Amino acid sequence: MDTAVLDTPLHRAHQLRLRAAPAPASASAPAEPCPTWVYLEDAAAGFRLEPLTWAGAVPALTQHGGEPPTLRLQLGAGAHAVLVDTVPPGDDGAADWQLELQLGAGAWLQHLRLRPERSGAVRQVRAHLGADARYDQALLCAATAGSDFTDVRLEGDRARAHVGSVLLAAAGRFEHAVHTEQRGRDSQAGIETLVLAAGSARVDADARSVHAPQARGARVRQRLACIPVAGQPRVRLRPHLEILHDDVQAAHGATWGALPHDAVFFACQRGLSAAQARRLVLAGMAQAVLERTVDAVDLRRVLRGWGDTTGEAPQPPGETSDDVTDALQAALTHWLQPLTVDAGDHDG
Amino acid sequence: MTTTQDHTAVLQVQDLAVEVAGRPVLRGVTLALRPGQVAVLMGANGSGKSTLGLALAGHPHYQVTGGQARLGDADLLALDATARSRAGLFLSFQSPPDIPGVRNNLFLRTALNALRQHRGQAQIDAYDFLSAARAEAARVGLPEALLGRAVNEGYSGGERKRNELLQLALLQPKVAVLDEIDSGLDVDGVRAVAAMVQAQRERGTAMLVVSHYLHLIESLEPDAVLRLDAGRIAETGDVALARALAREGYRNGSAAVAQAA
Repeated sequence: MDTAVLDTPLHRAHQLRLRAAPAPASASAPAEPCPTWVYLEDAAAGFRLEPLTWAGAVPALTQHGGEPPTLRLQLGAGAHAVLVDTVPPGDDGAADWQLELQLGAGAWLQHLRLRPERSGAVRQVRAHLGADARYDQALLCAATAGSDFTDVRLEGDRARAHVGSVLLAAAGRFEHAVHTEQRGRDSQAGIETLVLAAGSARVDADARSVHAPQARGARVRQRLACIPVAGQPRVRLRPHLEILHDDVQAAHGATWGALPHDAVFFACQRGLSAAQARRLVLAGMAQAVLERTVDAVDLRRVLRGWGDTTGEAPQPPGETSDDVTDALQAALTHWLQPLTVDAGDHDG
Repeated sequence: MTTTQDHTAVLQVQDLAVEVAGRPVLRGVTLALRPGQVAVLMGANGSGKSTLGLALAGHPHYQVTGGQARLGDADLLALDATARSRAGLFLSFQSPPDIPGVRNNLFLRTALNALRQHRGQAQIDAYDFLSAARAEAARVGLPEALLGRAVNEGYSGGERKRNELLQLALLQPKVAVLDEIDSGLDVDGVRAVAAMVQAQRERGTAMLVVSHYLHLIESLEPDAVLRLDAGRIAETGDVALARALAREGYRNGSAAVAQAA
């Protein structure tokens, strides 16, 4: 069984590292009696991470079409945690799972998610927010197969949620959906998805926001964007609003745009190769989405590990925010090859 | 500074003709700059000043339909935008674009290292770079905090121009085209431009400065003032030409100079 790691202390919050267990070496291998997830508890910090029990190993579950394993995380009133959710090096991330989050009054969870795997797994996140609770999710995902679904219920008054996703799609089919439902008064929800698509990728990216009849003063903003960088990808962006109260503010948009050529030319005029310039500009766009969602410092810590999971050379450690851009450039290099290598284009 | 062939020139432009979206803008521009020379380019709106800079820099929307341009021994027009930059051409943009999410210091260091690599120089690490960048930023009056923010994102007009000056100082080109570098700058910023141009001139950089403002032009003490009209260099003179154009306007300024002569 793989372990969960509690990295403490952080500068201001606890960090939970959430990892799926590796699959058994063979079908005949003895099944884990349970848990794929390690149980963590820190009453002082106010959070509890609770594994649900299920019979058999992950492949058996998948084979029998049962419910995927579910992890429940409760954050107590006023608690603040950073949840890092990724796949350990060497794991193909094939397991489906779902995560249920319960945030008490005034709790704040920053949820950083990296999905560098090609497995085709289904991931689901369901979050329930109490009054004044806040949930921020940043997802960087190699969108080659599978699906990813996040459902946030803002049940308490003044709850806030923001889900920012960057999907790197070079091939295969991927479905991504973020739903929010605002039931409390004066709540705020934001959904921002950026799809960088290449090759023959097929991506559906949905945003669906519901304002319940009692959601007076609620605000929601959806922003979906796609930039085709090479090849002939097909991406469908589907914003959807369902408003059942008169006193709400809602904005949504879906744009399919080109790479910002003025910025690329500017970078080339400063000596960067065309490939370097495109990579840097796109990494910046991805970084902007992620940093509008989670703290740059936490993002930096997490993305340092990206090189390990993609097989790229790890970035040298440092304490500058350049690490994030470097890591994102490594991700783009790895996942969107057509973007970064041109015939006759030499970075040197 | 000449408007004919000059074999000592670092930048030599001969009969350059450029179209934008099928419309002729430059119809035969000829000029030459020697190392350390400063020329001011003036002209009415739409006369082609920015087109000249962007065409020399290799912007893909600016189609060269005739003429030649050489940077040192290199055939500039045969190179792509990156190669022109690496050959030593710097363009200060009239409206420098944003690069959201990319920190200014990372962008500058990446650019500097690309050029250093091309020149066969060692890469500069983040700490050494930051030290140099802070010093130059202070020199051009750019707040140090902007080094850590996304390139040009949320900058004022003057801060963008100071950021262009910072890039000029760090990248040390052979030839710089400064397109209305003074627009949006306060009086201190204009002084910083004059000081930067002087410093670059002393290290041998040739500069073509596009400007409408006499105060800056006079403080630059240019080697030549050129008036661009209808896609051609219509007049060449010294600061007196700039004064006449500032006093009389582009329609009457050249006549005033002729009368004074």
